[in-house]
Amino acid sequence: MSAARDREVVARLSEAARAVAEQDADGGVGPEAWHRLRQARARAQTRGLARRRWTASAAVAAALALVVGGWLARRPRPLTYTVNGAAVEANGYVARAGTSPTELRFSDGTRVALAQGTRMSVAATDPHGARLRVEDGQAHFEVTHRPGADWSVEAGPYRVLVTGTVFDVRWSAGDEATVALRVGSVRVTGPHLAAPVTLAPGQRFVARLSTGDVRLESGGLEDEPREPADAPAADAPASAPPDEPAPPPSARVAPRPSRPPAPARAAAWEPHDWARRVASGDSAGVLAEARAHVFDDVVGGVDAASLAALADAARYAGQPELSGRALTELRRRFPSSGEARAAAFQLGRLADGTGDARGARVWYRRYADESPRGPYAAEAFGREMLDTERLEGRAAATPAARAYLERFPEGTYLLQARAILGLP
Amino acid sequence: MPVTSFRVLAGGADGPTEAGGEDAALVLALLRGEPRAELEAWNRFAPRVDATLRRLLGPGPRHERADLLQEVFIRFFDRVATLREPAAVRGFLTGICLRVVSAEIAARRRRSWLRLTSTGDAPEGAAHPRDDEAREAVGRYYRLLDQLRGEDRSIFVARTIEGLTLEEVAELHGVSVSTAQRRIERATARMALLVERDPLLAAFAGGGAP
Repeated sequence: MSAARDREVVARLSEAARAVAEQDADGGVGPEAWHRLRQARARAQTRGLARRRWTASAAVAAALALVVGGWLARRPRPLTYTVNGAAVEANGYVARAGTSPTELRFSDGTRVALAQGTRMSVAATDPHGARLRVEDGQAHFEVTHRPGADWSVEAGPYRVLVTGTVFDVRWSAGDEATVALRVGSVRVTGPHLAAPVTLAPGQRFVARLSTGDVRLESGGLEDEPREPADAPAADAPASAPPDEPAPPPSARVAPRPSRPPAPARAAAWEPHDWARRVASGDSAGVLAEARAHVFDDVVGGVDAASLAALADAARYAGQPELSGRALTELRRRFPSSGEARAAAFQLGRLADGTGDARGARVWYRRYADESPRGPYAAEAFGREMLDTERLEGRAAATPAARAYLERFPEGTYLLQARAILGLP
Repeated sequence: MPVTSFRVLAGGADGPTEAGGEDAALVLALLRGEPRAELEAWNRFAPRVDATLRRLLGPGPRHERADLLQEVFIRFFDRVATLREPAAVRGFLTGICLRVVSAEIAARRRRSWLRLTSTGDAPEGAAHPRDDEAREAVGRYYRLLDQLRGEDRSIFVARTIEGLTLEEVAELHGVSVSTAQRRIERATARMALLVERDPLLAAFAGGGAP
């Protein structure tokens, strides 16, 4: 057969395969699948804990054996390590709880010192290095330089690639990663970076996940203590809290496309097409523009659409408090607008995000009352149903589940509604 | 502000920009460990993942697919922190689907080698209530696909049935575009030959009766 004929045959059969796959949807994914997944994950986590506990114990035992017997074989073996000043937790983590120094010492001479309150884990070791993870807090690393050394340190979704160097890594509040390089060279990869960032001695890389702020600062490290014993506690913010304007960066790293610099403070100003910019993904730019002005001027001066856009930008950037303030002001200033009605739903969503199911339910109910046929009606009904189940139990949520299935038979919360009603 | 813009940014529409922004927000919520983020991810992605698995695997028992769906999400939740670009979560999930399905195909080969069943399929997978000509042909076609080498099958199915672009296929399999193209062409020729040797499939693909 010719190549064209071959492609024709494959195309016809592929089309038939897609059609059969479509037929086999069989009503989609059943609610039991979600519950099975949760059970499977719980089992996997239990197995993972046992494995990590075993791994940590084995590593400590191996290190002791090495001290006693020395190296018996010449072939490369994974590095081992000991923990000084703290015990390895049952789940495999190493945590410094008290004021006494806590340190990991690896068999190649590498040492890692933990700041107070810091938790970290050794994910893996091999003959050339190890994969470490700062779970929360700050640690100081002195990696022994050897040919072929291969170390990495993870801080949230950021990864520091190391060959031999001295540096500090901090991961705090599940949001901000900081890498401060003192000696040598490291590369950092992770979200909001168009390419890996290589740090030079004296430079500090700071990334805030929620806002997408990434910056590279130079200088100042020489004034800071090397050892983390004197470093600030892990729960003390390394920089301004999310709602405050970020300090001016000395250099921007791999800025995201279409991100404009923050405009200068001005007495009179207009929001620059915020709705369109947020829709096109420039939430960070909108937030930067809003932050360059007094907040009351912003929320008291812009129109309803811009307030809604600001709230969305803050929500996308993981700043619920700022989003909530904009939404509240939106409802106060433009109570009869469509944006204000939608704000009720978004306020419920924000409350849900903070675990305030009771508050969320009030807002969802308000939205449903104000906009029974609004674009979020199905979502508000579904979330209200789940909050009711969470607060008052499955039986209390039954009427809401029944009503949901009647009103939104193809809704997003179909699976949950059926599960509440005990339907397959 | 135009109404359409508001709907896009506020989540009322289903355009790519809105979907990407919402996906990214959801990934960030997962990374922050927010309550309900996993359930939201499940609600949003499970139907799509299930559809992808159906296309990658072919017809088969639903419970087997359910196991794979579960495996995909276990891997996804475990590895979402390694996702470099939150808005690219759908491609990330597709990559996991491809790897899970490849592992499943390899396991089926081992089961077949061990003679648990003649085909390596679970015994209860033999019958389907909606057997018809197209279904029969598609089932035979997937059995032929399983004769391709592991990664060749994955690349070929991702391109021809799942409908990914050549660039996406190459990236998800860690090969160059030219390599992906070459392997697809080779697999196309091989599959056409295998189809030609199967009278029922040849007739189906040619539009006639066997």
